[in-house]
Amino acid sequence: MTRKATAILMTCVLGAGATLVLAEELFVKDYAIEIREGRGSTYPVVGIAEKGSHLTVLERKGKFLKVQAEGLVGWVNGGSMSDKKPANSIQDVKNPATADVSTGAAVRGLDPLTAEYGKNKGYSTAAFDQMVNNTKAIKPAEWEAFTKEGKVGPDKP
Amino acid sequence: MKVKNWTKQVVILPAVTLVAGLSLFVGCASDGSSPITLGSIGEVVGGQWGAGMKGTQALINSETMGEKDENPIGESVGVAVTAQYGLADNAQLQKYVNLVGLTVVTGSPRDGKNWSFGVVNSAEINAFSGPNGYVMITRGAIEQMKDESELAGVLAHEIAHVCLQHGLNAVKNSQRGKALGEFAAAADAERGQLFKAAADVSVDAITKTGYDQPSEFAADNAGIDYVIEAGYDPHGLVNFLKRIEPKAKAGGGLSTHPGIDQRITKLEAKIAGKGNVGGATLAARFATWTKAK
Repeated sequence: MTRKATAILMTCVLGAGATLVLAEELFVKDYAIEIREGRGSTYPVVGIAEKGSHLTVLERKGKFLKVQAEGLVGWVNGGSMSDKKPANSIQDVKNPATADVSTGAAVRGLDPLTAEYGKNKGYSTAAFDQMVNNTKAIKPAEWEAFTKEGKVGPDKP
Repeated sequence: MKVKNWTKQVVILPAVTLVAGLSLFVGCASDGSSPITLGSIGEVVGGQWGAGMKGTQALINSETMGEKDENPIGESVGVAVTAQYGLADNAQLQKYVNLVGLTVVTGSPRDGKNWSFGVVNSAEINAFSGPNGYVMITRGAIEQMKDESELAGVLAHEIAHVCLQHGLNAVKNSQRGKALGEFAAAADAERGQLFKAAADVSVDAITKTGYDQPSEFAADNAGIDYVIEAGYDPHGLVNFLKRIEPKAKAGGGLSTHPGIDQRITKLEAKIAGKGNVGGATLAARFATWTKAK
C-alpha cells in the first residue's frame, strides 16, 4: 500500500470516526423526558421522548444535550440519557404539535386521573392550574435577566 | 421508533422522573394558625379515588407503575394542597418564587425537567414537594425570611426531596407498597385501580410515617449543594431555620422529622466542609419582590 493510499484510508477511517462521534445516539433511561427549545426548565417543551427512545446527539453544552429525533430538535438533560437501552422501554417520541388537544394536553395539562381525583374529592383544580400556568408564563428571557441581575444560576461569578 | 399520534395513545403519561410523595420541609414548625394539619393533608390526598378511570394498558410492574403514575400523583397532591389553602393572591410573589425556584433547579441534577412553584395562602411555616417537580411554599414561611438566599435554601430542600426520590422510596419500602407491587404485576389490572392504590400508598407512607431522618438530612445535604452550584449563599437555610426554631419547638411536630437543632448542626458542618463559601443573598431584591403586590 502506497503512502498516498494509506493516507486516504486513514482519512476515511478518521472521517468515519468523526462521523460516528457526531452521530452519537443515546437512549432515554427515565420514564419520559421533555425535549425543550433551550437549556433549562424555563424553555417550552417541544416534545416528549419516552424510555428507550434513541436520540441523536447534535451538540453538548454542560449537562445538556442538543438532540434530534423524529424531526424534533431540542435540548435534554444529559443525566436522563444512557448509552445502553434500558429495560421496559417504550421507545416513542411524541410531538405535541401533532397531538389532539385533549390528550396532548398531557404534555403539561392536568392528567385525566388528576381531574377525576379533584372531581371526586370536590376540589377545584383552578388553583393548581393557576400555579402551573404561573410557571409556564415565565419567559426564558425574563428568567435570564433575573439570573443576570442577581449573578446567580448560569450567571454566577 | 415512530411518532405516535397522542389521540391514539392509551393512557401513557408524560411523567418525567421518579419522585413520589408529599414532603414537609418544616412539618413540625407550624405556628398553629394553619387550617390544615399534616394529618388532614393525608386525609385530603389519600381518600377514595374515582372508580371510573379504566385504562386499558396493562401495567408492567411496580417500578414502571410508579414511573407512570408519578405525575398524576404529584398533580393530585398539588390539587389537594392548593385547593385547601388556595394560592396567595400576589402575582408578583408567585412569579418571584418561580424565578428563584427555577434558578435553584440549575444547581440540581434535574435541570431541564418539569418544575412548578407556588405560594399557598397559609400563615403556617411550611413547604411541600410533590412528585414530578411540584413545589409549594406557604406565605407564612416567606414572611419569616430576610433574603433570597433563605428562600433559595428552603426551595432547594424541597427540590432535593424530588431529585432524590424520597417519596417513591417511602412508598416502595412500605408494606402496602409491597402489596401493590403484587397487584400491579397482575395481568389486565385496571390502571385506575392501580393509580388509586398508588396514591393511597404514597400518601399513607409519607403522612403516617413521614420521611425518615436520613432522608431529611439527605435533602438538606443535597440542597446545600444545589444552592452553592446556583450561586446562592448556603447559610441562608441555616439562618432561616435558626429564626423559626422557637416557633417550631413551640408547635411540636412529627417524631419522624429530625429536630431543627440537628439539622442546623449538620448543615453548618456541611457548609464548613465546603469551605464556608458564600454567595448571593440578595436581600434588597427579596424585599422588593415580596413587598410588591
